Amino acid sequence: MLLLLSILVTLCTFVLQTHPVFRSISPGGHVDLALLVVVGFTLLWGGQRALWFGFVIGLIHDALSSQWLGLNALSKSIVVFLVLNLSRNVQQQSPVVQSLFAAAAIGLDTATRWLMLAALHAQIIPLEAVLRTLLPHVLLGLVLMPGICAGLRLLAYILRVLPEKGQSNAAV
Amino acid sequence: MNDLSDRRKRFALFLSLIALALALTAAKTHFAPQTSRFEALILSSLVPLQAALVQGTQRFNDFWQGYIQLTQVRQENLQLRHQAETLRGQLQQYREAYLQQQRLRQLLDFRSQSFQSAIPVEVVSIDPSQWSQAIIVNKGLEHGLHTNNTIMTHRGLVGHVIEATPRYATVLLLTDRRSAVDALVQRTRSRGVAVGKSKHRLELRYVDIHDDIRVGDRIISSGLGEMYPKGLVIGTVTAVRSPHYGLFHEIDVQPAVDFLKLEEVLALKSMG
Repeated sequence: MLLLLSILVTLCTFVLQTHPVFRSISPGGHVDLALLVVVGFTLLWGGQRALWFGFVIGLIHDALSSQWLGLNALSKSIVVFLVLNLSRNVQQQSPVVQSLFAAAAIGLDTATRWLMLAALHAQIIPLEAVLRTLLPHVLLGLVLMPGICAGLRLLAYILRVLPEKGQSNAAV
Repeated sequence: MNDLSDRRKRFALFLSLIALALALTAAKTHFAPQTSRFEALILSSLVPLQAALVQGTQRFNDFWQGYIQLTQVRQENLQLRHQAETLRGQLQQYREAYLQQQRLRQLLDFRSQSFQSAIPVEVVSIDPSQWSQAIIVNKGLEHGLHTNNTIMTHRGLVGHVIEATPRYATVLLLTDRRSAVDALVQRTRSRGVAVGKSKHRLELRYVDIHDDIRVGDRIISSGLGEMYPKGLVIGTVTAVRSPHYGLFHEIDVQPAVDFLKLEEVLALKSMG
């Protein structure tokens, strides 16, 4: 139920994120909302399901994208793994912590995709183009992440799905 | 102990997912340009929602325009009518030029490639990746679209189809870094390759440094490579830099099409 809820939420963010109106916004305004939802899910609930969730969402991202299948699956899996390991001893409910994790996730996701494209597909994105999109994305991620986490928690409360990690170890 | 075991399981799962992702990338590379069934399933599932959202957004916009700003809607309507008439006129000119070309080619005994009809399609989605310039249109294999079909508007070349599912198709725009079009400078017939640079710019490469290129020159497709028909407008030269010891000009090109405002485009069918 929890996983289904998160997948539905992420699919909705994909639908919003791929609306043609975003073409008229600068690259900086086109933030990867799905990545932020994945990080939020990982921070709030964690576990092996977070790894699967990140992988599946990455595959869906690849299917909607013109990039190679597996690119975003790989980068989101790595992001989830890092967030899982770093968040074991921190207070996930703190908005500051959530924002910092969002910033780290965006940076790691960008770096992973850049390396993959360069190493496996000989497609080198100039550093100037990377930085032009990365810095605004990080700032937007810092701002949006606490709201996304609060929204996920509220949805889970309304739908009476599992509590957060640390409070119960019940499986899906 | 349990925590250590969980961590090991998690790490093993992580490595497995990484390996699977790399395997998928390799498989996609090997079997490209076939669209996997998974991608087709995802597109078929999500794009109708995207199309519905686009339609809903358009309907709300129409309501706002229609009931709150009647004057602007009327003016916009008049402009669209005029634009439609212009498009009809241009299409008629294009048909005449095509027929004339066919007659001339028959006379000269040249083999020719031509297109029978253009399929109007609508843009329903954009690529969610930051560095990709691609769109998804609402027609696919069932409507006659195939991989490598040319996409254009009356203003010029937009791109080509890179993936086609039964009901949708992914179009790689000219502004994508992976895009490359063999091009001509219309005035001097100098050859080059137009490649994507950013959302708003193209670059014309490999134009010999001794060739005469000026700001304002129009760039058109050359027809070579059998990807794009000859004569489609790509853009206009906005800057020319000639390195002192270089072999080629460095040329910036402003695309003829406004890629930020694409809504309806035309897909050209190629004839055998």
